[in-house]
Amino acid sequence: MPVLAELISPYRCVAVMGMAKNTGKTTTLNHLIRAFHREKISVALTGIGRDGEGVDVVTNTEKPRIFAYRGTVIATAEGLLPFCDISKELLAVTDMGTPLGRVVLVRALTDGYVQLGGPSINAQLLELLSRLPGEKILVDGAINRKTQILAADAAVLCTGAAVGPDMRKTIAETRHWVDILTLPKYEEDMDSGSCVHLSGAVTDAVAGDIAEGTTVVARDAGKIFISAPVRQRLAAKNIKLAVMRPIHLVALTVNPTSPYDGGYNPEIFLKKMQEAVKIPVYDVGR
Amino acid sequence: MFGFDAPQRKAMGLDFILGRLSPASPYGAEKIKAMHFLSPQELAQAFDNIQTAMAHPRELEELRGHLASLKNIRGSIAKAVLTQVDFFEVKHFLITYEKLLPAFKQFNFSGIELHPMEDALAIVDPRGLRVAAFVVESPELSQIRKEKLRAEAGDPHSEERRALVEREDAEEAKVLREMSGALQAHIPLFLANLEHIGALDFTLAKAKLAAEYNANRPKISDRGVLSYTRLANPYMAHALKHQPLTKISLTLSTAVTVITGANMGGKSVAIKSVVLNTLLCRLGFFVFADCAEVPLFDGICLISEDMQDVNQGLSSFGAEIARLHEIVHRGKKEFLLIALDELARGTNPTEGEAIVKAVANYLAKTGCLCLMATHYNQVAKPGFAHYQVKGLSFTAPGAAYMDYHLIEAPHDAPTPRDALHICKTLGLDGDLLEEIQNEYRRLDL
Repeated sequence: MPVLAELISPYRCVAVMGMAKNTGKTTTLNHLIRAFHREKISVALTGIGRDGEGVDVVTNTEKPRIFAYRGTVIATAEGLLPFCDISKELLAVTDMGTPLGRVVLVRALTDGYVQLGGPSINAQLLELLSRLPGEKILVDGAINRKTQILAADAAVLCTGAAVGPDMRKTIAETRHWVDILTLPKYEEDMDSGSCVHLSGAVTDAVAGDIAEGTTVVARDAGKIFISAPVRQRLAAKNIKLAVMRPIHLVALTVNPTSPYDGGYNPEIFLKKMQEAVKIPVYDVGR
Repeated sequence: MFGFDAPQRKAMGLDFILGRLSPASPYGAEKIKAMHFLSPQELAQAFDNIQTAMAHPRELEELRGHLASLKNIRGSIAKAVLTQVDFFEVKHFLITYEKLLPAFKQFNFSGIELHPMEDALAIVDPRGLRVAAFVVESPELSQIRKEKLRAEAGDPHSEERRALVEREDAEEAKVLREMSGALQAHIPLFLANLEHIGALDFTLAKAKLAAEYNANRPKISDRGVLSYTRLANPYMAHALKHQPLTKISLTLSTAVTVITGANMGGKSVAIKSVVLNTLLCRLGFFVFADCAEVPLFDGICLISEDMQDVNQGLSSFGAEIARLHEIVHRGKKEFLLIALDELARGTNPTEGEAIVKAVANYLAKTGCLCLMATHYNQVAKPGFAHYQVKGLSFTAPGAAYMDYHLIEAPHDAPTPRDALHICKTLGLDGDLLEEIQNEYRRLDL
């Protein structure tokens, strides 16, 4: 089994999220689906809401599409079914509404391309995940839906040249997000002196008012909106961040190509990214 | 709704009751939204059915369990061509319906008929497997899918597979069109059954409510008499929480019935309880009383302090008069229950008294039944019925409790003067109380 698939094998439900569009999220998903298929591990697939995106946005794209194998159970919005070219056995219609219709459960009777759009409400996603069969569940996620990612047991982050033309900046930004997504779980006995629990969003403005040596505790990574420079200033003042509910970010995948320009040098990007973060980094496109 | 505005519906407890009414299916909910006054035949049928349902509580729950699995398929069956999701829903509905039928047949409801739909089910479940999953099938599709699987084993991205996907799409669309066409013939049966499912669900919800609150079947009066024995209002009982609610008994056999009594004596509660229960009876519900006799009112009207217009800028007196005008107009053509809770309370007492007496005298001649609560003296006159709130009772000097029972009184019995007692019981400041007592003596009250 490829290393990435092996790395996530302890977890039943894994979300794959991209830093931006075209950072290789679908390639990563396909990589994992293929790996599990070869190992005869049954897989269920769903996505986190696609509100705002119409069917035209979903379909008028040259991007790679998710390829599912026969027997895979897919939870998606009913409006996306015409864009799934598997032969479909409809298993259930849920009461979960999305802008593209209700979420339905379909079993693939043949292989084929699928479009995934699930609920965007966290409680619904949790319920849906509990209803899905399969030894593995893969969730098509997005960076702006970090709270929903919490419904999964683990996550993989995808980054790449599509984030911006400057590789150094991309690496810095990715490192920042890996840092936020791997914040430690808050424990009662954390050694630092004082502790501030914030129920709402932790923004640059909020962070500016925190006293030196404090530990700031947010509900989850989805509540943290501070920028990389502010994060550095906080570190300088010995201000630590922690979350009540951590995300298990197990790996990072990189995509050196970009639809906007020439992209990065694959070897250098992979190497620099590996140096910048403490979690494993893979280029699944190669 | 039924001539009551939102604050009135809440105050009388109608919202509370409708909130307690829990239909199991969307079809029952439709019927509740479309509730209306029933004809004598419809009422007899509705009451018979509630009685039938209440007699078999275990079977009632079983049937409600099946109803709860029914989803709304109106949108799906209205389409000229149904999608795979629509057919899934229709199939699920029909399989559930098939299970529901034997549970329904345990009862013998009058006017509710559910017809079998095997023929429609055969369209969506041709092999009779009765599983929820739904696949668009045809011999042609089976062939295409076989070829598709073979093509995928080679190169999943091949031209050959792409062509097969297109053929599959076209064939699926064709099968869906054919199935939709076949289903068309059954649409009238679907629609008729959905109506009866709604009526059934509504009946069961009413029966459950009646059982929960010990409601009873009212008798429909053919002599124009409205009468309640030990009448209650679940909303008031709920609001009182731990204190027991006093159940009242009263009979409106004359055109005008007057209720007098002290402040805080429950006159408003009595009026609202009568209005709520009379309305529920006309809608085909059991009533919250040990015994009830209710005539076939065309409408029920209530003037009370919680009317919407008062909040919308009209003075309370202005709002009352505007409403009274409408009621008088309706009363010329229809048989109404007119409930007036302290009409003209907001204007000066001399004029108020004159207006209330005149309204009572006028309404006595309309043929409607009028129930009015008032503070004013001598509104009741020969030919009117008169009830008084029993009022303050003294268990010991200074220790009083309010007895909310209604007792029949002669028409000319003076309005009870409990205001001073209430001031005392509530422990009003001693000096002020003395001042009030002096004023009472001066006015010779």
